Amino acid sequence: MKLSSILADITIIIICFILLELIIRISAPLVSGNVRQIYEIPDVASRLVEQESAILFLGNSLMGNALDVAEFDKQANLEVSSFKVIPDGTSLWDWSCIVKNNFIDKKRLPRAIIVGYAWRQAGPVPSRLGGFFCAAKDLPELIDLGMDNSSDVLEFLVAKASKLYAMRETIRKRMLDILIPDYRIYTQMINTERNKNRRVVDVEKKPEDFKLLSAYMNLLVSNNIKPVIIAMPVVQAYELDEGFFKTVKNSGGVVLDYRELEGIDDSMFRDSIHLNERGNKVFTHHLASDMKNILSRDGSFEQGR
Amino acid sequence: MLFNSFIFWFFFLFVIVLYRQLSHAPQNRLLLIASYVFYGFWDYRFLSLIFISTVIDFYAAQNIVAASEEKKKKQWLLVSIVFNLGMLGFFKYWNFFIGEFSELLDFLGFAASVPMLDVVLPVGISFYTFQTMSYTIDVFRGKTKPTNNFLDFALYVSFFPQLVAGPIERSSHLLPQITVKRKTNGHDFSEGFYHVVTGLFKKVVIADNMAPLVNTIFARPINDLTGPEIIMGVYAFAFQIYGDFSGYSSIAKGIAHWMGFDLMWNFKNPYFSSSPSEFWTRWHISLSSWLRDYLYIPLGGSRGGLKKTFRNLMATMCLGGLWHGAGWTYILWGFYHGVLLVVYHAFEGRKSGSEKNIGRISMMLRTFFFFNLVAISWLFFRAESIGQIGDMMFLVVTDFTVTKFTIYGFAAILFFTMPLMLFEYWTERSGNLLVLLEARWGVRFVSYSYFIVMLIVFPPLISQEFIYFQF
Repeated sequence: MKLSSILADITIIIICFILLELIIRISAPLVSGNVRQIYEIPDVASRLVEQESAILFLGNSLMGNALDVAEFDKQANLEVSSFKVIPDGTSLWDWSCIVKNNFIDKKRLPRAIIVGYAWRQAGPVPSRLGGFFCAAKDLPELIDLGMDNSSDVLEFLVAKASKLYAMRETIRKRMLDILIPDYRIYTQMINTERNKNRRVVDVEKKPEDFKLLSAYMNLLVSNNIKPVIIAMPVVQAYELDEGFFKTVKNSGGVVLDYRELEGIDDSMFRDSIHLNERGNKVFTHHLASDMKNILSRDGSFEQGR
Repeated sequence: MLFNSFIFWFFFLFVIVLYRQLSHAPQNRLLLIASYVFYGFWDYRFLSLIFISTVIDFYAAQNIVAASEEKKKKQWLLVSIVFNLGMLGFFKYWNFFIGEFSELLDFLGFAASVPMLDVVLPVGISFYTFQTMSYTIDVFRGKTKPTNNFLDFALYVSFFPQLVAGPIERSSHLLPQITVKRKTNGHDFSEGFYHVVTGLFKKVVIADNMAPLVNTIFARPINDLTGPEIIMGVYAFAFQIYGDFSGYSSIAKGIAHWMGFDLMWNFKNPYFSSSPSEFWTRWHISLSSWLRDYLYIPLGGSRGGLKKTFRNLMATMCLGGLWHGAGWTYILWGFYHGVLLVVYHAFEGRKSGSEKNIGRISMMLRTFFFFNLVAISWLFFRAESIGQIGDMMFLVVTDFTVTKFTIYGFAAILFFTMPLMLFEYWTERSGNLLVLLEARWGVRFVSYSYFIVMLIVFPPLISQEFIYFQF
């Protein structure tokens, strides 16, 4: 085989990859509503800075289904504007990077940031962190906080370099939704059965480490932002470690324990974890009332701009 | 350290960069160290087993050559075989045979307390013990000249691309590539790349996407299944095991190519076989040829008439089944393949050349029919117990309820495997397994684009270990 032929092969492979990467980068917001929402986070941050006083709600689909922001503003009557950033499947790892890179580093500081939390702290998803939420400079801190597996670090770096890689799950879901009948229903069923059959792994028995939570709380408090964490309601109640409450309290934050929220019953869920419209009304009402109390009694937390 | 993990490619990048800077002897030392590091990542405790096996077989071979009497030669050969099979027997089969023995005693009315051990199976033990045994046997037979360099021999035993899941190389093929200076050229790069990409595709895209379907079907209680769902699960497993094992062999061949080694082909489009004999010249070739050369032929092969041929075939295939795992399901799998071979030899094998010539349509139908016979064998291989095999086979012939889950499963099988099967059909028709390397640039562009997109976008959320590591 001639050298020119080998170079042709290498060129073909590189061109394939670059073309695909370009297509994905250009069309990313069209791939899914969730990705579009992620791409809009800088806009949310810009709009937030235009307000005199603002509250930022962070979370995933739990928060997305539970909260009606317009209704919250109306009921709380706090003379603040509220913004919601709720990308699907995200956790405290992602929210920390979102807050740091889009709000704190750019001096767009809300008065309070409220996150919706449930169960025990989820592990990092390196390709999501690298592809969407974290900067390369965040890597040392992520490693320090526990993302120290070499595969995770490499996955983070690859996702940082390639959007095609970072968005693979979204593209996969979209394509298989079209090509395979009832793809989501049966994939979900397979996952549920697998989890049921799987033995409880040692990792899950390990005591929870609140290093990340503590770092997140300190980040907010040091920037004069009031941290509020909501323990979200789901159908089957879950336990939270004592360390979780201590960490939030010791850092100067507030936990709103909504795991068994008055007025919420099983009929107010659309599935086992997401609230429906009726549940949304009750949740928003409680939150508006609680936040009014928290922010009015905590006058020392002036907006940090 | 899995071939489909970032850490492996990081490790390999380090090795290959250093390798390129070195001359022949230091290259071999580097590969030996890399091989021990690679294996140590799995379980460093078992490095000692590889080392002891290396020492024993090295000195056994030296003594076989040095001995002047046939009796002495045989004794040294016996040392090698007893040690290797003893090690394999202890780690892999102790609990199985002791457990079965205990049940037999119970059945006969003797309550006996037999010692069951908490033995961990060392990764790849079946592969490297067979590889080293073939060396001493070939030295005994005069087919291989033993090496005097212990470190070169140690590399032959532990060469990391094929250490944990084959191909099981022969000393006559691999050892000269270690002892003689190697050269790499552009063709090696292209061919290596082709093997690596197609191997990763088979493992990550095909096998790992079939695994959730297979695991669901084989973990469900029989009452929660229908016949077509079981058929779907069995087909999914047929592609899972093919993708998993041939994928590993292909990646091994590819990375070895980048270092100037040419490992043997372990799979050659096996699902395009139209007979049991042909299947075993295309599936896990390194094991089937090992069993042929060191078991079937020494037993007498086909030299002693039909009855003895059938006996030898059955014995070889049952032991081949047992090689895969210590369980009755594996033995049954081997037995079933033995029966297929016997039936084929009894009827088809005796036809003359002109009688065997059939048209393309007939050949396709025959290939499809034989694929289904092989698929049945995968039910035996994957099932947890003989009872599960019976239950599942009964349901397949008595329940014909097509559920939505069946349709979902078959759609997934078609989506993931059909392009690979079409690709293999192309290589089959052209008679050249590397036809893509010689294709026009447009064809290469489309093919590589497809492989790259699938590799990036379609790995499942949970990656799976290679199935053959457990053997």
